[in-house]
Amino acid sequence: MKIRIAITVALFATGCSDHLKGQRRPEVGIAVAPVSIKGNGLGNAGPVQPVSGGVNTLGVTVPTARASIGRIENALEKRAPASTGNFARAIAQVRTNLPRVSNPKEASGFDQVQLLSYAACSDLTRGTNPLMQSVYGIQPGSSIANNEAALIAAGRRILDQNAAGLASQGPAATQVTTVLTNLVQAQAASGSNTSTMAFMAVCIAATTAGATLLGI
Amino acid sequence: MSYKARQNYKDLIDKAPHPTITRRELLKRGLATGFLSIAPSQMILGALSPKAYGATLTCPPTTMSLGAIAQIFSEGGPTMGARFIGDDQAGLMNATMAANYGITGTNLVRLGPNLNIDSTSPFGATLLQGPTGFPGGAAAWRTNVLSKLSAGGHRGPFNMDDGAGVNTGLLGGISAFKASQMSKDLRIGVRNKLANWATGLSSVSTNGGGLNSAGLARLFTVSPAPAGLVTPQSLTDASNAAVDLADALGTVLGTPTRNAASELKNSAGCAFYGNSTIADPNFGAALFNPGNIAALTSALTVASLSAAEQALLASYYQSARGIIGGVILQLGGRDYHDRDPATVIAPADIEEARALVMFLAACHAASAKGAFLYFSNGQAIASGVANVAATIGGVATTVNAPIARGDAGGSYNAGLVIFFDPISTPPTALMTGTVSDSGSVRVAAGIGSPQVAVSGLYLSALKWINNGSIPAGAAQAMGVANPSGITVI
Repeated sequence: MKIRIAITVALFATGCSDHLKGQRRPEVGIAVAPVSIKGNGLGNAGPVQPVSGGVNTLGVTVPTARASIGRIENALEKRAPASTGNFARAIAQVRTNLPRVSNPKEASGFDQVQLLSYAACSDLTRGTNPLMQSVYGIQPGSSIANNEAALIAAGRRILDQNAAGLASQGPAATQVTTVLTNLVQAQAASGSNTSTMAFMAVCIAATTAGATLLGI
Repeated sequence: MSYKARQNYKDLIDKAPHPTITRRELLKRGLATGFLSIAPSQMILGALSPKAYGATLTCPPTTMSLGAIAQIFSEGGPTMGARFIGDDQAGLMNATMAANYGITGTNLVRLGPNLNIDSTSPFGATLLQGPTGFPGGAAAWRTNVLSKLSAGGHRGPFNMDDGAGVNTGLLGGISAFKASQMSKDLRIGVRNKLANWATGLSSVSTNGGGLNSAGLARLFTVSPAPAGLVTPQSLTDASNAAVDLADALGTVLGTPTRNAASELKNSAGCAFYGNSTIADPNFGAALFNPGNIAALTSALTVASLSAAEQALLASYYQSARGIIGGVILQLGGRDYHDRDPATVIAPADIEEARALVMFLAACHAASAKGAFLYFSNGQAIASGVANVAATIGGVATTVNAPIARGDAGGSYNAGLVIFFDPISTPPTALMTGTVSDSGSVRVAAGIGSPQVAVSGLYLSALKWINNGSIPAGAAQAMGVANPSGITVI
């Protein structure tokens, strides 16, 4: 009986909203007087600026040059800034070739985004205590197999930055993990690959997916 | 408890805004609402995602289509009339016309249909000399290469006084229309506005810093150097994973049902795959160092070329082989009027003619067809020639350089396309427009703007390379409904 009551109360609370809230009448039988909005006029009827999403509200979009760079920075939590290192040099080299328009049907230069991702990811592998170790917990001197869990976690973390956390939680999390696991194991299968190379593959995949392929 | 409290509603309606419902009705509605809010969207996504977004990526095969296409955009206002002369102009040639063009008018040499030069002009002398080390020398160069040329073009629409048309879209590209391994055009020094249809074409660019082979190689090599970071295979694996990750998140974000989703996936995904080639640290250097290309070293003395000429030679060769798309070269500072014939005009004309020599040598070495487009946004009118000293390919000589005395909007200018056939006869091409006794030209009906002319000449070049048919989609991409009205072959 208690359960039935609890279910009833819950459904009542969610299914039947408090629809009278905000419509309270001050006095029975008297309509609420219209209130003018200061500065409003017929010229302002309807949106005067493009609504969110622009004219292509139902379509996918791609980031153009500056946005691509920003998303790569974002994916790597600003630890590979666009102003220094390989990332900066790569930007100087390919900046004229990045996508110029956000419509995927007209844009080109996606390949250059991957090259930027490559350069930015490489900045995380530099030095005696590289950021891939201090931030993502990947031991450069250890095998890919030993680093597998950290590599997969790194991929999820990178993708999370441009996907609002959906890579590590939500209905796609399992599939994301599977993709990253397959990628890491493919790198391990090649005996000459190092953990640094495996990290690069993971980092490039997650960064480019988040920066370019999500359509948002 | 307030749910059941009775109230006296009396404003716009005479009954309570919410009818009394039973608990059973409430449960029924809640369950129905819950089902309808979740199930249909999941069912639709489940049905669409494997087809629209999650399907296997299909990239076009890597195809290396033989044939070179290149363009020079000579920015400013050179004496275009002193470079190439059509058959009708050659037939009408007189002292006034020759003086206006900046040529002698008495030393015309016909290289092929609609393609005449003044052999003593900086441009003509450079073409006739050919590259150092060509087997058999200049005579063999003329027999084996220059005799396999023809030209066509549109006269008139490019005329704008003092280079005013510099940003009217006189630069094009071909990467989407001619299959190549890299699927990219190479743009060298391109600073002005491209044709509208060319802005989205895949390309790589180099500007400033001196044109050389090493610089071009860097454009086709990942930076930093790939050793210890990636291999071609690991970069391919990363590309595959990126697409798979996007597929995974696409089901959550609703990507499959959105407009242009499949285009995004194919364009971006396939572009990523193309990068695996350049993860090879030797790839770029192998492409653009002509000293490492046997076909070029046997065709000419590569070491005799300047660094820029070597870079151009290799670029044109890779375009001819189908490794890269077109080579689009902008040469600035060609505002000739009142400039010194010896120190400015002759060297600039020689530089442009040498670029054409590199193009022809590359096509000859690759045994591939070629189409060379040649536009300028202005035209300087001349008052005869000055005999000046010049150096062509390291050889000191004298040439009759134009004395450019002013801008000449309305006088001779044309957009040209030069055709090369390594084996058979080059096509007989149209030169549209009319020419007067003074050399002044008028544009043909139907060539209403420089943009139309640029599209027509690019379509002509593509048609030539593609063995007589315009590649599918090219005319549509350029917004040309009736290509035959603006092509010259």
